[in-house]
This record gives sequence, structure tokens and C-alpha cells, in this order.
Amino acid sequence: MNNLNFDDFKQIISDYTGVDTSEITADTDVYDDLYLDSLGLFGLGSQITENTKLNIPLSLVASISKVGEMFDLLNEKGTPVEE
Amino acid sequence: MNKCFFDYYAKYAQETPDKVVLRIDENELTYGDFMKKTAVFGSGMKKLGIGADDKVGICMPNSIEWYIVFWSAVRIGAQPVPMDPQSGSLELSRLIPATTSKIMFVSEKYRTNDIIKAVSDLVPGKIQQTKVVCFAPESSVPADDTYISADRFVSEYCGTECEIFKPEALHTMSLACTSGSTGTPKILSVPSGGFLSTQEDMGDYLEFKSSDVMMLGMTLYHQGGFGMGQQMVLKGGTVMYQPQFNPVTFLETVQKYKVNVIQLTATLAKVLLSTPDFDKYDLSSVRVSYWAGEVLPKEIADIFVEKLGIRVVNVIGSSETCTMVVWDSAIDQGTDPSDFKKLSFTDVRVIDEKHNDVAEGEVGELCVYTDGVILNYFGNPELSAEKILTDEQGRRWFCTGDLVNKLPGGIVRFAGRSKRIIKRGGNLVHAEEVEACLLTHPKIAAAAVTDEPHPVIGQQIVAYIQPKGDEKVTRGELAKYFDGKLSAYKVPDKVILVEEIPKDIGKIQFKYLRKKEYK
Repeated sequence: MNNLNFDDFKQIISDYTGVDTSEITADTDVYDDLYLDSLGLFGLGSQITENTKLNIPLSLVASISKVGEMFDLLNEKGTPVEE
Repeated sequence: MNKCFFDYYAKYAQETPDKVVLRIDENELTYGDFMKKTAVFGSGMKKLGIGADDKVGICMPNSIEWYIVFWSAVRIGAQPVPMDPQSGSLELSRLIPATTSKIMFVSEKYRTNDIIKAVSDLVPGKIQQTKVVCFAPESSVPADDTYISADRFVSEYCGTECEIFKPEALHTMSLACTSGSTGTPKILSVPSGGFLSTQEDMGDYLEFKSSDVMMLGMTLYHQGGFGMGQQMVLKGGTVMYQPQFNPVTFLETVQKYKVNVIQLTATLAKVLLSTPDFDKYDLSSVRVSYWAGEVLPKEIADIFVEKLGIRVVNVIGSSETCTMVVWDSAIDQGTDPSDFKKLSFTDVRVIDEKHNDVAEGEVGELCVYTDGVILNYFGNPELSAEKILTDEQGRRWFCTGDLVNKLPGGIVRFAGRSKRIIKRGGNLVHAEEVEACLLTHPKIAAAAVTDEPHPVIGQQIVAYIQPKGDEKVTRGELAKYFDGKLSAYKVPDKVILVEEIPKDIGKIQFKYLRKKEYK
């Protein structure tokens, strides 16, 4: 279990997508509300890995649709990036 | 008499009527039903006055219905025009008139794209159509008389009998739309005879058999994804597509149906390989993996060849040529999968700006002959003349826009693109088209779009933007603005604000731009 802070996580998403943090909640839909397509979601996943130094399997990223699910996935399944 | 696709479908329908030709998730279409259902939809189109050479627009995701509509149009000699179901109203406002579609078949939605809404913003107010047939519940069909549900179309217009049109070799079988739609969209006239013969030749080369099952990662509405599937169908095999790519169900399906051939792009493979428990899936039925759409990194090819024992066939190609040149692990293992060779039924030249062959060791544009090279760019004789060369034997050659290094032994090595095309995870994005949409934004004074390498999706779209006055523009704002206008995959992944964009855009200016970011 990783102890990531949700506000920090929102900031990474906001920086990547250009959507203001005030509009991002756990229930925000990555496709409808962040205007990402499935490839954009992989782009966001790479950015999150760069900022948090945690890897998440791409195939699991492909199956999520809410910001909260992505946060939980990172906290539960994220593994440290090998330097 | 020339052979046509329906000769093959009819033969297999007679020999193996209950065999599945197409499976999408749990939905199946047999060879027998294929013949019956294309007669139903073909007869309905005819009753509406659609005939030979009329254009039939299809804006639908991968589905059995897509396949039936496409081949029903071919059955009556009309020309199906698949349009990307991610298309928004801006793209459709160019595509529908440019393709001269007389009738449209549409789904209700694809992912977040409301297709019926995008079409009804244009039809009938701005663009006339004989009918828009909606695969949707009655409640979602617009009230206007132009619109009709597929169920009502079948009950009111369709019968059970429909003759099969016999095309000449140079008859246009279908129109394929490429992702670029700057001003004049690129619409490809696919030749009936040449498309058939190249797909058949490639199926022979890959040793496809009637007992084979092929699973494709690319889509039906992409000319490449469609054509690769037909290589299997011409052998009487089964093809499978997904409504949208899902790595876990892809692997489960391969295992469940003992798939023999998988078709992938490098991005899709990276996603598949990252699946937890990837090693636990039984992929032993897979004989061939078939790659297209992106540069294939050697590391990925090695995993498939060495670890999984699967033959890798990587094709460098474009929708304009059908099959082109390949790297085949069965022959070329140990070399880089970006080194390609021609096939026995294709030919290549590497040419300079004056269309002369370059010397060995030099870089030039790849020019390809196949029997399937398009007849022309529909409605665009200037572009046709620029890109399609006809030799003294009457063979059509296509200038691909791919820059390659001409190496000894007939090898060509991919070196880049001569045009500003961004390859984002297998999707081609024309930088000019994204710029054109950006420039309609009220806060933007100037824009330049370029690519940046990305570890997963190959290249991402980067937009350099010069805002008007002190305005600030974010990616989120642009994504909202693009929504419904352009496909979601064309939205810039990254937005960088700059003080000024050099007017003469080229590679040097892009390097300059990267240094001069807005403070």
C-alpha cells in the first residue's frame, strides 16, 4: 500500500490535462470530464509514474474510468520504479 | 470474367454455411447469414434508389451491422464509405459532402461521441441525404423524415432477394477516408480487382488456412484493419474484432477460441505485455503475429519470436497500397524490424524529388507498386497526380511519404516521414488539421503543432500556442473546445504557451520553439 495524497494526485492530473483541480474529484470520469481518449490515459499514466515514481500496469489503466479508481490502483498496486 | 469478393463468400456460404466469418464479443455472423443479410440490406438500399457507384456512408464502430452494411453496398455495386465513429460534426461536415454520400448508416454512440447528434447537426439542415439509417432505439432517432431506425428500414424497404453486382477490375469497390481532413479530406478509391488480388496474395504468403481464427487489434473502419481481416476471409477462415480494445478480454479471447493469428500495433502490444499474469495465458495456438501501423521496436519483436515462439510479420504500409513491404521473423530474424523487403507480388523504388532512383546508401521517398494501389484520391486530381505514378506497363505506383534508406540486398530502412504526420499509437494525425481547429479558438492568435516521443504511444501531440493578449489557454479548455468538433485522439496531449510562433514553420522553427517557452 502506497500512501499517496489525493490532493497531490489531483494536481498531477490537473497539470497534465489542463482541467482545474477544483473540477477534479474521485468521481470525475477520465473520458467524459478530462477529455482523454484511451491513448491519452496511457499518457497520463506515464506522467503519474514520472511524478510519483510508481509504476502501474498499463492494462489495468486501460480498464478504469474514474479518477478515484486510478488513485486506488496506484495506492494498492503501484510498484516503485527501478532507477 | 474477373473474380470478386462475393464469389468467395458465396462459395463458403454453400460449403460451410454455419461457419462463423465474423465474431465481435459474443455476436457472430456465419457465412450463410452473411449472404442472406447482405441481400436484405442491399435490397433495401436499392428500393431507396441507391445503385452502382452511389456512395453509402457508414459511421459506426466495429460491429456485425457495420460488416453487413459495408458488404450490402458492395453487393449492389454501390461504394461503402467507412467513417471513423469518433468523428465530430466538424469532420463530418467535410467528409459527407466530399465523399458525396447519398445515404448514411450510423450507430447511436461510440464511447463518448454522440454520433446521431453529430450527424443531425448537419443533416438535413446543411447537408441532404436520402436517408440516415440509425442502429438505435426508436426513442433516439431524430423526428425528421430523413431519419429512420434500422428496424423500420428493414420492415419498410427490405426484401430477401438481391442480385450480386459483378465489378470490373478497375471499378471502385469502396472509398476509404484517411484521418487527415484538412480542407479537402483524403478519400481513397479502392480498386475492386487489385484490392482482392493483393489481399489474396498476402493471405497466401502468410499461409492462412480455412481452419484459422484471426483476432485483430485494429478496427474494421480502418482500411488496414479491414483489409488484413479479408486476407483470412478469402481463405474461408474466421475473423474477430473487439468493440473497443481491451487487453484482458483480448488475451482471454485468444485463449478461449484458440486463435491462430493475432494482429497488433506496437502500442497495443505494450499494453498486452503489461497485463498482470500475461505469462499465465495460454497463447500456444498463436502461429503468426501480424503488425502494422507503427514502428515495431526490436525488443517487442524479440519477446514474440524468442519467448513466445510466434512468427512476427511487420508490414510498413498505408491505406493507399494494401500490402507493401515486410519484415518477417521467419526469414529476417536477427535483423532490425525496421528493415523491410519487398514481397514477390510488390515492388519498391526509393526516389528523389524528381522521381529518379537514389543511389544505394542514400535516403529517399519510398514508392511502392502493388496491384491494390488506389485508383485515385476521390475528387482530388491534383493530389492523385502528385502521389500516384503510372509506369509504361500501366502499373500504379504510390509515393508513400515515408523516407527510407536504400540499403544493399533490396532492403529499405524506415527513416521518418516527409510530411507533418504524427503517429499517435497507430492513429495518424495531420498537424495541419489540429492547427486549423486551434486557430478557430477565440483566445488563440497563432498555433504550431508538432510531435514528441512518448514511451507508450510512440508520439504525442504537442501544441505550441501564442494566445491573444494576456489570455491563458489550457489543454482542458482546448479539449472541451475540440469535443464534438474533432476526434478525441486529435486533441493535443500537451499545450505549451509561447510568446511568438515563427511564421515560417519547419523543423528548425520547432527546435527553436521548444527552447522558447512562455514564462
